[in-house]
Amino acid sequence: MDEESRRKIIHIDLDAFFASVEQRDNPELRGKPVLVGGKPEERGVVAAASYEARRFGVHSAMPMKTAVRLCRDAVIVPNRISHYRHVSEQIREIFRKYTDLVEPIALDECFLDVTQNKRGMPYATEVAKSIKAQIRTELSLTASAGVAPNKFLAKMASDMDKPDGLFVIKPHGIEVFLENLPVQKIWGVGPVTEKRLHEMGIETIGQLREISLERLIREFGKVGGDFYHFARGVDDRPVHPREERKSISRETTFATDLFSTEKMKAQLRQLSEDVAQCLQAEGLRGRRFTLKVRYPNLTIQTRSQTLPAASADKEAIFSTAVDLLQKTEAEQFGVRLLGVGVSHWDEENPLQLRLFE
Amino acid sequence: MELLFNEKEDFLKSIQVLQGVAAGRNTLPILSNVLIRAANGQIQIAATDLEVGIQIAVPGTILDEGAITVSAKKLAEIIRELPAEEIKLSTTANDRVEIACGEGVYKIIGLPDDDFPDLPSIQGDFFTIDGEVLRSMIHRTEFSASTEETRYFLNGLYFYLTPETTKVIATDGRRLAIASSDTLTPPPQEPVGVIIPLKAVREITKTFAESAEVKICLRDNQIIFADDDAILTSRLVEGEYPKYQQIIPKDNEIHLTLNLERTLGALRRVALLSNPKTYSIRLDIEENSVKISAKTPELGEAYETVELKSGNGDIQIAFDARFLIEAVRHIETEDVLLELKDSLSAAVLKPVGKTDHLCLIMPMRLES
Repeated sequence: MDEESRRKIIHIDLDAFFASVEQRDNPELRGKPVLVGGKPEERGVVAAASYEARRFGVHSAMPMKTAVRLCRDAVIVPNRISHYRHVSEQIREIFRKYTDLVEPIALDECFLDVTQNKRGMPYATEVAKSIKAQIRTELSLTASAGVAPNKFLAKMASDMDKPDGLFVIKPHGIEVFLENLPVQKIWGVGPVTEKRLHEMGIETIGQLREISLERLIREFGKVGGDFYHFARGVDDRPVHPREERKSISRETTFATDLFSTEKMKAQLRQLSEDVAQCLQAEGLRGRRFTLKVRYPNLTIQTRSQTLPAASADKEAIFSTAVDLLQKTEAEQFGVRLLGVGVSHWDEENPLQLRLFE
Repeated sequence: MELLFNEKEDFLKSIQVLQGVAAGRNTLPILSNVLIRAANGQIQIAATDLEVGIQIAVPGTILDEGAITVSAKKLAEIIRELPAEEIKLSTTANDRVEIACGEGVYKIIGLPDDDFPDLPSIQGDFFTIDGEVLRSMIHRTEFSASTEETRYFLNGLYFYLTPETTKVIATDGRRLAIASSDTLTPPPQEPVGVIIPLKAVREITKTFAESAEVKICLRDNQIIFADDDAILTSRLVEGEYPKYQQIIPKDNEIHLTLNLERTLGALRRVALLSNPKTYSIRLDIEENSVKISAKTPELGEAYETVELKSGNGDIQIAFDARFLIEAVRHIETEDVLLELKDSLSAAVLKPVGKTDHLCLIMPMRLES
């Protein structure tokens, strides 16, 4: 625990990033509800919503049609992803003035380990304030920061005081902070796990803490161990400065829901080809293939399979995706979105041949 | 609790086995401890990380029954350094453990045994296997298992138990080893396949290093190995084991017989100059001999020629030198049989005149 309490981790999350960039670049949009994403008549999805729009209940990943119904005055602007990527890189440059231990998790989110920082600042809270100020003055954007002894707590903290927030969790305040938070706030607790936890009578992190490590491992396998530690605010994962890609995926939302398996397969073939092409361009081969399905009722389901050997072959990706499709309810309910992804890179000698190919 | 141990080495050996099982830090503190329990006239010590658990009966005199848990690491360190004299181990108030030996007294802070996880015992049906056969099958396959974390289901040995035979299989996706023996006693009614994690496999070899016979018992997601003194429990790895039967070549028509020691020596020497990035070693096979060669830019090159005892081919092929050396090293006959098809297909290595062992290795592409 001593070593743990000495680490100083900051999680920084840009506030309504894409929408804020648009408002910054176009003064006419300031103070207005802005939605970034595709048009409602093309079944677009909200990629980001400004805080003015969020007041109406709009959030990202919502169908644009629904968003517009909730917020009639919304201004819809197209997604300029390459521009956001550029701004994101400018923000990371600021982070690197404080530490090289910067781990990006999305264009608008990073972990920083500032235990040893380049400015020699003794308090992580001061570092966070300074970074926020620099982002504001140099880039005219606001960010929310969470300061804590580890990644798990830092990410929770940044979410506590949005927008333009700064929330600090000190080692002695961990238990009180976690006590009444709902269990789904824990990293890795998705809807299925949440349901099982609720069935076990566990709603809050405080209640989760009363369950033994053995029981959690028995119920949930290895991640059960993570839940046990997270519930106590313990997380020793380091901040990884590597910026390599962890997975490559492609997905498509359809103009009209698909019900025919043949049509789904045709889409999967196209997606598999796109993913394979991208893998080959990056020189990557993955062992884990994932299929993502969004049903007409908007619920999302993913199914994965790990193969004995890594591959970047479009046929292998396609046939696995078809197998995985059979493990979903796609045929029964139809699909609104299909996605195919590959991860778990194989880093081995390119000359070595493999047995299971 | 108050115990006397006269045989320091026996006690130490058992504690060191358990130390390998006890969990490291970052988990429940009690899991880094060993349980010491004296009850019903028997002293038992145990450790578990919830994946693998071992309990061992140790010889000693019970002056007073009881139980306590104490740091596995600290206990092993202390016992190791003690002189070879009688060791007295007792509990005092507040979960302290006092170890007295010669002129020295060591007190360590323990934890009560109440929180220590329950350990299973062998109940119901079980199979038995000859201890030497079990150890040998593990020894002849384990080296081929994967240690890469992402391929969790290859991080173990596949035990395939059928009414006719017992097989142990290991693979990392580039090589594979199979060892087989007679079926268990009594034979299983129908074939069953389980993946046992590598950590447990290593502990099986240590725990049952001298056992003449080992009992095997299968439960839902666990396997239990036991002899008269020790019980080892392991969680089984979930996941589907690769369909290994399909990749065992049946049409490798080039058959070479080589003297094992001669070949192993040559491989080890030539491998010293293989490229440290690829470990590629090349075999140029002719009618009567095989030329083993390796080279590394900026370092140098080497070759050695080994006479064939018999052969019928003419082929060039390259392997990861480490895979080839390990496979040859685990074959237990005077000569080794190498069966090949072409330079891109799996090679088979076997003992000569025996059918209970087989290693497969995928070649590497020949560097141009």
